[in-house]
Amino acid sequence: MQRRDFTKTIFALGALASLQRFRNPNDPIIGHGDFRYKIDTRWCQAIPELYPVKDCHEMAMDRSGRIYMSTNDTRNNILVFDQNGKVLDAFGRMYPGAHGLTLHDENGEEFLYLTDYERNAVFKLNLKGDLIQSFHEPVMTDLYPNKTDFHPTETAIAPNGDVYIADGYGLDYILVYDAKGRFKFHFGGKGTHPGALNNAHGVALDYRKPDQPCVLVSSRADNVLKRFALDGTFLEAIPLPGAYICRPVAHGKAVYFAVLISKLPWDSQSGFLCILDENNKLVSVPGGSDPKALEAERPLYQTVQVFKHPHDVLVDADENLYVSQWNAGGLYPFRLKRVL
Amino acid sequence: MKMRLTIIGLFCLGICRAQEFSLAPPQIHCSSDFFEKNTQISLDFALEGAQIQYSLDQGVHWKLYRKPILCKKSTLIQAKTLHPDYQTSAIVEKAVLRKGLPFGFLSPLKQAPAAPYTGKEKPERMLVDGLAGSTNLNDGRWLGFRSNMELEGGWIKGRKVKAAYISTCISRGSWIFPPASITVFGANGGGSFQEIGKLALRDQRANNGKQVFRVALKPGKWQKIRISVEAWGPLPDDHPGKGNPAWLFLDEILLD
Repeated sequence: MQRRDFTKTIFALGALASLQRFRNPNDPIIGHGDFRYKIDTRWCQAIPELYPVKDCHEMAMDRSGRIYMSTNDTRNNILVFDQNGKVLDAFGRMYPGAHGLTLHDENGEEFLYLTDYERNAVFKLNLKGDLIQSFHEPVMTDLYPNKTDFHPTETAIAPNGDVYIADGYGLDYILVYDAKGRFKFHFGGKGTHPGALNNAHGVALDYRKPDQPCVLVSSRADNVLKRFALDGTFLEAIPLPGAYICRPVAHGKAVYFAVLISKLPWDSQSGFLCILDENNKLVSVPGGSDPKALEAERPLYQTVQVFKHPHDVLVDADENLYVSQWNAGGLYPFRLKRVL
Repeated sequence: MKMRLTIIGLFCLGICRAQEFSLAPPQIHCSSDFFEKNTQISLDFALEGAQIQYSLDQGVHWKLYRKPILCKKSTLIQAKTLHPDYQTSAIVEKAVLRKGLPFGFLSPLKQAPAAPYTGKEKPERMLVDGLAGSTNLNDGRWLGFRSNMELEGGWIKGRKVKAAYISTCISRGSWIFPPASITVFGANGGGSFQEIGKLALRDQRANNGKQVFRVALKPGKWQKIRISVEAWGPLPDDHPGKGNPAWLFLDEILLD
């Protein structure tokens, strides 16, 4: 081979190598039934030196399609992406336990509700990061004799402005406040009664059946998703053995959630995603075992090591998924493109 | 030109065949980690198109898994998964141990386990009760130590002992490290203990999860056995808890 030919060959190989990023036809597809996805681990274009992350906890999307992500890295607690993974903004330096992130539209203005398990509080921010309001452990009750028992992990906001706070790293109550921050009532808590919660990590309001709205709560250490009426009355337990559920996300007719791990210890890197249908039946487990295995009463487990510790799922209008991960060595979120 | 096309073709093939993700290892099920006469091991992996291979001779021969495996003696099974779209999984292994020689007498542990992993019964009894700890470290069957552990027992008449099995759990993120070493001593009558087997583990990278370590012993008949498990000591510099003492987790010690 002459030198010129060799040079051309090297250039050709370089060009082909650059196509690696876009190699799609042969990429594996994960998931089951109607919920199958191609994996794009390189969706996020953030540069670690500019936008460092520790744990990537949760994600939310505003009505213009901007994606917000919480991380406990106090150099930028909130990163904002467009849907191509480009960083649009970064803010927040005061939230060492930045965790749950929920977005809520209040009379046309959108706000972020950020839980901080280290600062024992929930912070309501505008989309620029300005602090608007904070929520703390309920006073005037005997629920929290010790303020430092309150370690909130998640919020869900009702249309009337009621704020449901999951004390998932604390006493496992779901605490309900009105929009002005006045404590109203609580439910859940540790124990053995049917409505008890054990690591109440995630909470969501479920309006998939508009005439029967309910609250979904993950009792993560029990591998159970529990349904409650809006007033806290226990309705149902949905056992999902092997699924350490982070937060449920109701979207369309389905409920999505990240499963942090499927077996202890907590750093076992055994996570995946789950999708329930409108009847709360498990229909897809991207990265995990076939849902039919659960019907055979075998716990769910990881099959493909796509994720280390998936912590949250964001669903966009095209039903693509964005997955943030805890304890994943500073990995940015992945995007899973739905395959129709 | 022909050579150039060949190189590019091979490179393309490499790209198309590149597998970014690995499979997880298969699930290994058995009715009990410790058995009396026999036990059955089954392997499971619910991914379409995947196959499971297993080895009973430490990876020398691999067989395609088709049906549960009956074990009548202490067995170390290794297994892995394969699929054309993914990288082959890491090898997972599990030891199932035939219940061995019971101690005639046991001395109290010199160093008690640390709270909250103190167990529900006398710790020296729990270490030889034939009950395995589960993946839930709070199940009451695991004993957690923050220093070395020494178990001593024996028989009025000497017994032949070939090997000792020490069942542990490792979870580095949870500050639970493998033993640094395991040393077994034997003695007869009023004589002093002599070392009859040792396993150094500090330089080995034992996987997280439940692990059983086997210590081969010098052939002999002993009236007393002492099993000394050295804890890891301070957590290493690259660990978030550096400097703090690592936990040592044990659920069972068996003699063969």
